[in-house]
Amino acid sequence: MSCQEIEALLTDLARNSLVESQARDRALEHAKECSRCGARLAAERRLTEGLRAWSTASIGEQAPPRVEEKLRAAFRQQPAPARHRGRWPMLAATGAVAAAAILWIKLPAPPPVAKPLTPTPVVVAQQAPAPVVIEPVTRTRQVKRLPRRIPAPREIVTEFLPVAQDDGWSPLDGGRLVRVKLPRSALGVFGLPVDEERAPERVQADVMLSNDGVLRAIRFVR
Amino acid sequence: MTSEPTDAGDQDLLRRALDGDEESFAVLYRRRQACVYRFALQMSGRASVAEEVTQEVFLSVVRNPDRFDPQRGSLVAYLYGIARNHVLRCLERDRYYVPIEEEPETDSSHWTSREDTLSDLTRGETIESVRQAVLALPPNFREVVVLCDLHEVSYGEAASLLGCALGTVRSRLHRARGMLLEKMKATKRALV
Repeated sequence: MSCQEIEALLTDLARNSLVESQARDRALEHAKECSRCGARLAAERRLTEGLRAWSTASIGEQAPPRVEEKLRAAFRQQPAPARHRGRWPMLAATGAVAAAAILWIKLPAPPPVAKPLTPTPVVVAQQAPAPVVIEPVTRTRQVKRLPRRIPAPREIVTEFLPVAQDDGWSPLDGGRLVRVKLPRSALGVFGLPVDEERAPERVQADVMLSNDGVLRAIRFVR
Repeated sequence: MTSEPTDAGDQDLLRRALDGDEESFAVLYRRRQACVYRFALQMSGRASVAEEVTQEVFLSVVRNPDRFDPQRGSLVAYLYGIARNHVLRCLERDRYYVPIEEEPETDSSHWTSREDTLSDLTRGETIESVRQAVLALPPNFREVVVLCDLHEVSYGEAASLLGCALGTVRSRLHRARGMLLEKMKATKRALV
């Protein structure tokens, strides 16, 4: 087994996950002979131990009692129909269909209209008991009820401008984004044009910090 | 004859709860709150977020009972799914804020209360180092470590919970563990 092949099995081997026995034996054999893979496997096993230790230490963790109290209170306040909501739509739909069917049978035929509506009665008949006349009215109401959409203020942002630190950090290593206000002159530091008249103003920016608090990248926001 | 709530299965409890039985809801909550709370705590590192998420998860169960489909998986997997969405939302919401260091969430006193203090101290340090490294992972890598390594969820269950392929879970876990080892090595170097 090559070093590359064992790499694919390392995680499962270290986690004692199900690995085909022949492959497992060959991988362990290789790890004994190859110091690099042996060290890799040992490190992965230590990591597994650390994770399991954390998992065991957290077993007692649970939500404080006040959460149950709040939930019980919310449960009591929940109106019964809401708790049964899973069934209500079906019941309501069944009722509506039944009512529409009765209406369809009982109501006298509509008087002839001077201007016939576009679809012929055959189309209506195919749609069976649904109260065809009601639908457009409902739709009109729905349109009226729709809230006006207020467009959310959009932010315009520059691309992230990297701040080189020459230590091999990459965004995958994690970090945090912090919104800050900077003097407008800071734009110039990153090669962006600065309006001299507005230099005393402040501009918003998002700074990306690595977990050790070092500045890694910046983008400007308007 | 109906069984006591404590003996009933999750789905039975949920059905009774939705019929208005508060005791069944309480039993279901007590049975499953810890794994939801721990998941949120391990993902966020903050007790306040874990508490908020746990509350939201169970509120969502009561308010949207029709969203749970037993054909698609167990109730626990469903709870993890809602918890995950809430945690990601909280992380997104709080990403502009630099968190003020909270007290360590795990009570470490029990690690040093035994006879072998030194060994417990080392264990405590190891746990803290692993915890910090996991919290520093990007969320999509962090969640596979928390689910598969800390909660021992199978690759298949994790894949259906995260809505991705099983191979993706495998490769993310592999990469995440590689990142953890690198981070822990770097921390150790910094301390020496």
